[in-house]
Formats: sequence, structure tokens, C-alpha cells
Amino acid sequence: MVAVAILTVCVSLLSSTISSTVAHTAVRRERTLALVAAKNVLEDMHKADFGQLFALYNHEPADDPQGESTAPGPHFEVPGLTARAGDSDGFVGEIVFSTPAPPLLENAQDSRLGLPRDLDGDHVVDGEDHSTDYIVLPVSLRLEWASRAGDGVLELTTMFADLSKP
Amino acid sequence: MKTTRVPAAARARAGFTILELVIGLVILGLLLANVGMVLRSSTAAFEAGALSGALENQLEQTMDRIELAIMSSDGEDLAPSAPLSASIIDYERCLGVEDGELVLDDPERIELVLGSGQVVWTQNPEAAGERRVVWTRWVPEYLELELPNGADDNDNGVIDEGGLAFDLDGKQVSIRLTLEREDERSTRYARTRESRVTCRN
Repeated sequence: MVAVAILTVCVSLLSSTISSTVAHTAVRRERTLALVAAKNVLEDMHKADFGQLFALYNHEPADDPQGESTAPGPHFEVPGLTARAGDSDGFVGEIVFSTPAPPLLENAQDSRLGLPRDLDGDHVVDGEDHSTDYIVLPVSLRLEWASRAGDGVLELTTMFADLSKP
Repeated sequence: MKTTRVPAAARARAGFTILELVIGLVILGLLLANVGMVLRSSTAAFEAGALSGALENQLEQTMDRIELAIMSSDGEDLAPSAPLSASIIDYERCLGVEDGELVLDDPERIELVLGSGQVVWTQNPEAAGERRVVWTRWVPEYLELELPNGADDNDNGVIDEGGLAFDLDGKQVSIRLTLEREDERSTRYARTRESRVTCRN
């Protein structure tokens, strides 16, 4: 009886180890998918005209450069990942600027994006709209998905800049 | 009627009957068989996980190398665009700017060598001072789920693309790579990665 009990405990320990290893592998795979998707979106943003980045990827469809609702917008899907059940937009990924729509403010309070900071290179942090004259553009990519091990989150923050001489 | 009474001390000393022993042995056998099956399946799962993990690491490392190489190159005339694709790309890395002109490094090439299934990086291809480095092996002739039939089997917008495929869209290059290996049980494991890189120059 004792031997059977010990054997049962051992087998259950072994099987729980295997199942947690499999779950860990799945979570790692999900994170890799999220990271690759985020990098691809950043590369798409690199391809776009720098001066139009904010207009292309903000929440405001009216300022899209090619006409209303023609730009990719702030949300993106990630193949292989599913948005969380209660997600408001139903997408895994979102591109976050200091302000979601014009005006683009450099005095916004967002330490994650390094704001407030001078966005138009005039050495002054003011409360004006800089959606058309920024020379640096802090941006964050936030990905949230339903994972096998709870909710998965990945956030990448970077800054686009156009500092070339006129 | 005559009955035989077994004394209590004798009952306490009595062993198991043959039937009890047989039942015990059968239960023990079943348990051991189950443990054996669990161990065998866990070993197989571990080996599969290890192989998949190694494949993913290799894939990630190779893609990082390719992306970094292309990212720093001059983005003109790199490869044909979708729905055509190429398993070879020639490029020149930008070293900087001198007197307003781009300074480019020696020409380089990344290609899939069919037959050996290798991704090979070459500096100064087909010229003096040629240098070749194998970046990875295990690349199949065609990308995962793609067949040589003139159709887009894997629904990625490219037809009959190789195990390593480049296609160009403006200054952006799409890179697709599949690595495939077999384990001792002849089970195939394939991993595919697709990424986009925009040439910075």
C-alpha cells in the first residue's frame, strides 16, 4: 500500500513536471510570435514617410494622409495569438503615442515615453500641437493576448527621429 | 459434521494464497507498465521539445543575422518582388557618409544552397578574397506547406518560394525561412519565421 502511494506521488510529480514544461514552451512560443510581430510593425513604420507617421498610426481616421480611414491605424493583429476576451478593440497589438489623436503634445505626462520632452527641436516644451512638425516621435507598441498561462503582455518602446540636415 | 478449527496464532502466521499473489502481481505489472508508458512518452516529449527548441533558436539566430545585414544595406535592386521571390540576395552594407556620399562595404551575398540545405553568407562573391560562412543548415527546398506547383499553397502571397525566400516591396524586404529536422523516429519538425526589414539607406 505504501509502495503504491509513493509510486502514485512520483508519477503525479513527473506528469505535472512534463505538463508545466509543455506550458512553458507554449508561452515562450507565444512571446516569440509577439516579438516578431512587434518588430515587423516597427519595420513597417520605418518604411513609411517619417512626417506622416503620427497621422498614419494614430486613432484619428480623419487625418489619414491618403484620405479618411485609409491608414493602418493604431491596432494590428498578430498571427497565432488571440486577443483577450474583454479586449475593447479586439486586436492583440496597439501603437501608442503620447496622445492618441491630434494634437500631439510634447508636455504630455508620460514617463514611459520619456515625456514631457521637446518634440520639434525648438528647445522649448510647450502646449502646442506638434503633429506636423515633430522631429522625434516616441512610440510604444503594446501587445496583450490570451495566453495558456494567464494573460500575455509585451511592450516595446522606441523613438523615431528625423535629424537629417535640410 | 466435523469441522477443523485453525488456531489464531496459526492464522496470523499464514502467508498469501496463490490467488492473492497473482492479483498483486497483476496490479504491480499494470502499474509498472503505466509508469513505463509515462516515462517513454515523457522522454519522447522531452526529445521533441529539445529538438524544437534547438530549431527555434537556430531560426531566430539566423533571421537576426539576415535582418541586421539587410537593414544596414543600400535598398536598391535587391531581389524580385512578390509574387516572385528569390533565395539569394546581393547587397552592400553602408559604412557611413563621406562628402555627402554613401560609403559602401564589400559586396555580400546570402543564399540558400540547394542540396546541402545551407544558408551561406559570402563576402566578395565570385571575386578575389571570397569568404564563405555557413549560417545554418536544415533548410528545405521549399518553404513550409509550399509545393512546386505554380500555386500559393501556404497563402502568403508568394508562389513556390524556397526554404529561404526574399521579396522586395520598395525599400522593404520580406524574409521567410523554414528549418526542418527529423528525429530518430523519423518525425519531422519544421519551424518557419517571416519578418520584414526596411533598408535604412
